[in-house]
Amino acid sequence: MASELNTRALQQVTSESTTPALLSVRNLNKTYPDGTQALHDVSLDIPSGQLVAVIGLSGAGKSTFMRCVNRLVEPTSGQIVFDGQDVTRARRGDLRRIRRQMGMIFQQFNLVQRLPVVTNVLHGRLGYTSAVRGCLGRFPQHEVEQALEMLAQVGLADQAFKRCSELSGGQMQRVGIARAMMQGAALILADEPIASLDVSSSEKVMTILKEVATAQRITTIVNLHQVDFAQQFADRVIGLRDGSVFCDMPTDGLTEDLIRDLYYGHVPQQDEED
Amino acid sequence: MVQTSTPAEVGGIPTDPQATRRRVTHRILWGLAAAFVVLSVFQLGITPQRFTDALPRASFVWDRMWPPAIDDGGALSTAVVESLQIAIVGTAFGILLSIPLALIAARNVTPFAPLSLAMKGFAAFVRAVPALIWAFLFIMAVGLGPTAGILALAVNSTGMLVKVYAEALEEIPMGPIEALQASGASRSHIAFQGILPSVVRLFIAWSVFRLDINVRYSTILGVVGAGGIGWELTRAASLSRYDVALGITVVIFILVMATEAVSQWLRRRVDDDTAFRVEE
Repeated sequence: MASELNTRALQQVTSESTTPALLSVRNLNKTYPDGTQALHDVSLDIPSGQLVAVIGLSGAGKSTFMRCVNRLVEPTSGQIVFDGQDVTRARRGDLRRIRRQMGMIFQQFNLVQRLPVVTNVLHGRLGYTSAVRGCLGRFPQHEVEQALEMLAQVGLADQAFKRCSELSGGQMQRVGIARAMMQGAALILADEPIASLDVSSSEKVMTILKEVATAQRITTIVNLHQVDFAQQFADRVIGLRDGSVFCDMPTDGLTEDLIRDLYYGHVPQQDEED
Repeated sequence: MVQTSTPAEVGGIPTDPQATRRRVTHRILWGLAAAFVVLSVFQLGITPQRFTDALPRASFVWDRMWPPAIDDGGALSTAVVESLQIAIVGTAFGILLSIPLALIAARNVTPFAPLSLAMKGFAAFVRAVPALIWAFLFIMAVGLGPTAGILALAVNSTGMLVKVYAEALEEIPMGPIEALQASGASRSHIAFQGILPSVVRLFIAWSVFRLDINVRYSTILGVVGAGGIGWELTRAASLSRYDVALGITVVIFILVMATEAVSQWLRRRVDDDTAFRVEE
């Protein structure tokens, strides 16, 4: 199965030059108010349908990079173009329209614990829902049915009407995936989706993400701590070190030496406290 | 200089100079407080004789209080209902006013940070003014009657509810809010679907507690003419119908106790519902 994935990955990476990138990042910089330079001149192109793993030490800028893409974090400078739209220049209304085309999955799942599972999935539609209906949580029948279908796809059909707080971590993350899928997004951003999960839940969550990316050709960017998971599931691996792109290649191009350099080849004087 | 004269030093036991200074400060404060109490007793002319003189009059009133009586049952029950209505409507207005203000006051959800501080200051001011004074102010504004009482309770409740609601809001997890933002939800969507579900039970618990307080206040508001059973009590007293006054007092007592029982029952239900929150 691994070799199958790799050939697919190669095909996709080689076709990169012909298809226009879904997401194009140019000279992205982010310096936090406390002076921490989280991203330094990051430029990337991600074509449609790829599953890209972003790896690197904690503090390397993975999470900041992802949050700049949907502007949960304001970039300091640089340009992000998503599906022909300039994300960095978008004003409030436009930003909302861009955001609803990007699903996001979080390390801490970020579900509203007090609400039923299916309502949390339906939250993925809020960007398309009118103020009154959205506030009251009155979603149209076909969306409710779609949400139940999504839950069935992630294997949680029988949990739909439980409160989220009653689920296990792995189940919560699958609800998070269903919520992101519910958006009908072209891009899914998964920020450390398995960092709080045990191995078997992690496998399950990554497998679902992989299925979504392949079957529905949804471009997926996954921040990962674990290199082995990146190698097992991703088409392409981007290594971030100290806020800069250290390596960017098809998964099977990732060698032991590169990994060692990425994680241990730190130049001491650049080492920051984070 | 002060330190050398403390008893501890005289006793030859070495002490921490800071502790000694604190002790001296405490003694001075206690001395001043005691002096103030003694001065007040003299200035207000409170002598044992005043108490002994009051005794015959007290027994006169006491004798005429028994048995407690209900003079005009119809008017009294109308007044009881009016008191409850003032409390309920006043609380409802207070809640409706407090929710949007609390959304401004809570540090983590405020649309504009300096407004948060301003709103908290405003709530603290409103809270500092007692309900009876608000009632006086509103009687001047809208005249005698239940309207003044309702407005007084609404405003006075707002002072407290904005504070406790804002504190509840400041405790909510921010992750789900970030998730809704990321999905393109609007501010109002986030308020209703992300924030409200996390705080609604605490809001209910505090609101019920405030209703309990407002029922107590509503019984006394009538004394200054802001409607309700307090007015009946004042009237009975001014007509020297002490038996009726006692009867009304008993009714107020029952009303307040019943409210407290209901409020505790309601809050316990909410607590049971939220018990699982601990394991999160």
